[in-house]
Amino acid sequence: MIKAEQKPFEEILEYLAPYGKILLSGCGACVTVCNAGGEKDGALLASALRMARRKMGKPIEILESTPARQCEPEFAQELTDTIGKVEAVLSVSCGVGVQTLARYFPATQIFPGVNTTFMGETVAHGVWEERCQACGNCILEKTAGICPIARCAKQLLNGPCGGSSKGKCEIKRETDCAWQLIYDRSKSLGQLHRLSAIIPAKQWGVESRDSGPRSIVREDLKV
Amino acid sequence: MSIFDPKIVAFCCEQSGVPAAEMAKTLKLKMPDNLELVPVPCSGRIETLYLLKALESGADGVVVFACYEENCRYLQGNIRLKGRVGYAKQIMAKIGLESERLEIFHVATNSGVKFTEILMQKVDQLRQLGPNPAK
Amino acid sequence: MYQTVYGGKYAAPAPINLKPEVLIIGGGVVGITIARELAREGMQVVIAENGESLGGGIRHLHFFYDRHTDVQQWLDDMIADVESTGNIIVHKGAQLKRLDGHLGCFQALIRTRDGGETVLSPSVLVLATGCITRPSAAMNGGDRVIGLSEMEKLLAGSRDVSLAWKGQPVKTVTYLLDRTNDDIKIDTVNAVKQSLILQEKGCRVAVVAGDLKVSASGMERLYRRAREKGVLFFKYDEPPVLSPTDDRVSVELQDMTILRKEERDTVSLLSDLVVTGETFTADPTAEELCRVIKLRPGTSGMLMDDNPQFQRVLSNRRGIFLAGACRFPQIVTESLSEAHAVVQEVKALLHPGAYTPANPVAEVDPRKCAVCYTCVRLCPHAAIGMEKHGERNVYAAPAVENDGTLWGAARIEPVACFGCGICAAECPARAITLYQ
Repeated sequence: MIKAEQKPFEEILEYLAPYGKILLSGCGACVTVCNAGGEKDGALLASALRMARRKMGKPIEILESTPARQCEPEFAQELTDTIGKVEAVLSVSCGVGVQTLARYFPATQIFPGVNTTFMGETVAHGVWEERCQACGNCILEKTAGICPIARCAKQLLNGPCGGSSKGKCEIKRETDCAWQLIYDRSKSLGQLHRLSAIIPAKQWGVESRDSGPRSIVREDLKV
Repeated sequence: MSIFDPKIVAFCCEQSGVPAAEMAKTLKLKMPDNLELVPVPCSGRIETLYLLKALESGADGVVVFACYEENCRYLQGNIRLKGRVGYAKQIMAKIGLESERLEIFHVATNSGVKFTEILMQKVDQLRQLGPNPAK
Repeated sequence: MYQTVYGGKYAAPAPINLKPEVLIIGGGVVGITIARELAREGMQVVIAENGESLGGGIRHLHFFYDRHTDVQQWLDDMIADVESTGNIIVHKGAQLKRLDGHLGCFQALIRTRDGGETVLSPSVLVLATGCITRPSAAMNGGDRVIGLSEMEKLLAGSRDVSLAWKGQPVKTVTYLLDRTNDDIKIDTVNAVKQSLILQEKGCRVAVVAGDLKVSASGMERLYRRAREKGVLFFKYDEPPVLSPTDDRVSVELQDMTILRKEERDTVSLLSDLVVTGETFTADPTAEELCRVIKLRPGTSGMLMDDNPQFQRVLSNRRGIFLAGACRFPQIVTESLSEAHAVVQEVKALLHPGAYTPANPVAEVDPRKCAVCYTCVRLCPHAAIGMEKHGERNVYAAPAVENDGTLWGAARIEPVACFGCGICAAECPARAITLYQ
């Protein structure tokens, strides 16, 4: 799922400075799961903001709402009445949710409350790690189910760099070397031969967002 | 000028803090005047939000009376609480609130005297800090 | 006062029926004792024993320290009784492979070594898997250094004849108890007990120990009797040194009765046999068992930690009890008291025939649940699971709330919930309420 973490508090305070009444909108999906923008974390942020503003002598009124998801227009619609009562919205959903609100409410300022960080996996409770970079052309079948694009600092496609040492990455010493993981897993699966095939360079400009925002259009589904 | 009488919200675990408070009451020990005791079934019930809300809605200081570590009747409660108090302190630091306004104390059922001593010390400490600027 | 849950309905948890059926894991002396007493109460008892025969760790023991019964005879009588009791079923070579459900309706999959599988649905589970006893680390003294269990066997084999070791008569025996067993008193009890038997056989016995642990019923008296009978007791600070001579072992230690360290003489105990203490470790299956049962492992690998808020036979899950050496290695009398305690607990729990939660109970609002597994991971009592449709996680509430269908959200089993509120405080969607 999408993983996010709260933006620096001062940053949020700064762009909310002109407003006296806002809506803090959480999201009941991905950001709830990663404890960044669900009802609990939204309420914590709201409480902290109210206290900070009171301390500054400029109290702020914060309404709170957490739709089940923020990235679909129908869910955004739930907020219509509330948004009519406020000067701005602080959305603690991922960047997609913020933009859904922005599209649906053209007349209201929508601010992000979290940094959408990556698509990742829960490694342990409270620990999330990046797993997919949405590169647009999956090669996991060649790499034993471990993605070198998302997990190798240098996004190498054909084996580790010279900096891989004792299974760790030279860029970030505490991180596992993705290619070590790929090798170990291929070996234990008896699939080492797959690694001898050369993976061609990725066509970033064609497959990925280097050629602008991507879209998927399914003519058969359109209404 | 009247002396500042800080408001303290004390969350008390029913396995330790509550009996300690009752003992203090039975012993007729001196308690702070401006004190609100909030009983909880386990200190693990205390949400991070409760800690912040207490400060937001008028407390000058928040204390939690929990069981000693490894003594939790529900095994993990006071350990989970420790993490939440740490997180709440991070948030308080961002707001600019002093860390002393929130603290965990480990007590046993028979810690009546310790219970009041902690609270009276807290009163003195909060008097020096002054009123909670964010309430 | 259970309040409204959702949709404004009042929902007190319904009582759950409890059949008088108990599954005991482990057919050692503790498991057998519990089985017999519960069977006498008319309960249906199943014992799943990992080994090929009943008895367990007590097979190493031949003498009680506090009574004159022959341990093996006593055990055999009990086993014969268990095996002839109609409402006790014994599965040998059997392991618990899977456990679902909760108090009143556990689903336990038992697999026997021949590959046979049985699914049981006991109301209550009792763990009595014991521990593993090993001789302490080898010491320099050659084949004249033996463990307590070996000595026990030797004594049992020479009840009416004088003691001999490898054809040589044994006249002097020294017990050397190390300090590895911090709170465990089995070593002391067995050493003092054996020293009295040896003394009666005309041997000269010395017990060398860092600390003697006599905090068991009657042990102070036994220790005094041993002293009166002439058993020598030595305390040490520095571990004694063993050096083999031609036909004996010399145990050399500092005379601690002299207060000034520099004035202390070396005492040398020439011994035909040196008996060392034993170490106790968790049964190798304990870790796997903890995982299967969702039990909290203790710090030393044993099941459950000591916790002053807990009665010692209770576990972190309602309806699962433990007794004996799987929790903590102790002397037989104490293990048996635990067995009796478990019997009392089980009787008290099952006797009313139904269970209604008396504590606050947490409840999930399925409309808010994000199926993030936070509560499932954090519940110390394994009371929370995900409601699934056909074994799949579903992220959607059913159209009609509370209509009895599964809903694809976390669900807290009221019977298993202890009401601590940890889940309610952690839920990132604030979907959980603790109802008082």
